[in-house]
This record gives sequence, structure tokens and C-alpha cells, in this order.
Amino acid sequence: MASQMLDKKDEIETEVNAEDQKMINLFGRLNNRKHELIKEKKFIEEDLEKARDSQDDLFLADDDAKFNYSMGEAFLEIDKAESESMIEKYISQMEESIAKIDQELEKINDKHKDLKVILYGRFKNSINLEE
Amino acid sequence: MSTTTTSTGATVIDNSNPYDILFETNLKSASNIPMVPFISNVEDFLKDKEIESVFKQLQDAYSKYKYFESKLSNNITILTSRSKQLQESLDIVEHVSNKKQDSFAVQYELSEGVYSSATVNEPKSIYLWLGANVMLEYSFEEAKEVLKKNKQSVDKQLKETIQDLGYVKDQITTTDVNVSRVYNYDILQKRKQKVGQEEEDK
Repeated sequence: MASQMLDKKDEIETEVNAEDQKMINLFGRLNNRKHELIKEKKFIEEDLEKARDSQDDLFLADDDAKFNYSMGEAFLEIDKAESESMIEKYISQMEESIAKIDQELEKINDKHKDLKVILYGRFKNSINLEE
Repeated sequence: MSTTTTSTGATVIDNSNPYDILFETNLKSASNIPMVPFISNVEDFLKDKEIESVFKQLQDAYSKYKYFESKLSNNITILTSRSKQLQESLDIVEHVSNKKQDSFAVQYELSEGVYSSATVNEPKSIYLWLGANVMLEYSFEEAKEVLKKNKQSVDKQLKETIQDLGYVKDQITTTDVNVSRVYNYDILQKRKQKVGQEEEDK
């Protein structure tokens, strides 16, 4: 929450009560989570792009070629069909994670909207709900 | 995370989002971290107190919670990556157990950056590294069970840590608000004093 000086005419004397404090806390907490989610999403999207590149390369490879598929600390030697199905599974898992993140972000935005209506209504310019 | 046990006794992993708890309005601490007292009335709160000592007290509380915050967020990073590793191990056990009738080749790490090849013929069991220089042989089903149990306990810790971190953030926000309210009150008092002084001077 950034601080700034207000004109005297904008100052209002609304006392913060315990309920307000809870709402302010909720807003801040969800705001933190929102930034975490945005970061996490970026990481997954980068991974997803790499996986899609591999998928394209795999598509162009010889049908009887063998591949070393990285799994944990080892590489599994598998054929083209199996590589394709494994990478497909990996991609769909990541797509699912991104969809889940988007869902959570939407839930946070909805809650933020509700809280802003209440808190700005009570405190006008005396409160600054920055995202 | 709730543990559900099926009739066969197998452990089922709960996939619900551990971060859902952050939507609670009344977030409690999972491990009894003390709560910052809410100031319901600044004037009453400051009665018979030195303003400087109040600020110092608030500042002390603030740094304590900040310390907690960094500790907990560190723990979350560690627990999240441990949970991911266990899931990876589970995937590998699953994969190998599907090749019971097969033979397949792997490249395994001999030493850092050095790999060697091995052929696995009709695997019947798998070895789990338990830590403390101990490795134990398991059937595929048992290995999955052990890994699932471990993952479950890591996920439970993770969930509690997420809850505590959310709670600590609340305490930091409350302290922030307390500081500004005390500060604003102090300024208003000084302003009133000044006005009073000017009127007296007239």
C-alpha cells in the first residue's frame, strides 16, 4: 500500500473497525497470491513452448528412430510412438495447470472487485488498494 | 489434506488446491502463531503511553513477522519442490511397472554429467532411496504406496505452511494499518494543539 499525502478536504475520519481490517488483510493476501500465480504461469508457459517445439521436432523425425526421454535423473530409450504419447501427456498436464491458474486468478479478481466496492465506499480516498 | 483410504487400503492423493485456504476471511494460524492485537480505538490505545514507545513496539512486532514470513516462504519453496520430486518418482515407478513383460534401455547418471547405458529385462521390483545411505527393494505396488504416503505427508505440511504464511501476511498488514492509524492520530493531535496555540496567542 503506497502512502501519499492527501488534501485536507479529501481526509475523512472513518475509524477502521475489526471487520474492515479483516477485509484489508484478505485483499493484501490475495494480492500476493495473484502475483505468485502470474509468475508461475509464465514459467509453465515457457516450459510448454519448449515441449511443443520438441513435439514438432519429433513429428519430423524418422519413424524407426529411438529417443532418449528424460525422466528424473535418467533417460529412457523409447521409440517414436511412445515418445509422442508421453510428450502429449506432458503437454496436456501443463495446459491443465495453466487453466487452473487462470481459474484461481479469476476467483481472486472477483473477490478483489467486491472488496474494492466495500472498502472504497467506506474510506474513499483515504485508502489505496493497489494491485 | 484429508487422507482417504479405499477399501483395498491404498492411499489416495488429494488433488485439491492447497492455496484455496487463502480465500478465508477469518484465516487462523495452523501452528498457534500469536495474533497482532487490533486497535479498536486509537485514542484509548494511546492513553497513558509514550508515542515513541508505541512506534517502537509496533516496529518490533513488524520485524518479527517479517522474519517469520521469509522463513515460511522458504519452507514453501522447499516443500513444493519435494512434492514435485515425489510425483516424478511416482511417475517413474508407474512407467517401469507398465513394462514388466518388456526389456528396455536406460541411460543412468553414473556421476555428475557422466551417463552409462543399461538394459532392464522384465523388471520385478524397484529400489527406493530412503535417505541415510539406505536403499530398499520394493514391489511396484509397495513402492507406489511408500511414495504416495511420503507425498501425502509433504503435501499436508505444505498446506499448513501456506495457511501460516497467509496468516503472517495478515499480521503484517494489520501492523501496517496500526502504524498509519497511530501516526495519523498523532498528526491530528499536533494540528489541534497548533490551532489551539494560535487562538491563545491572538
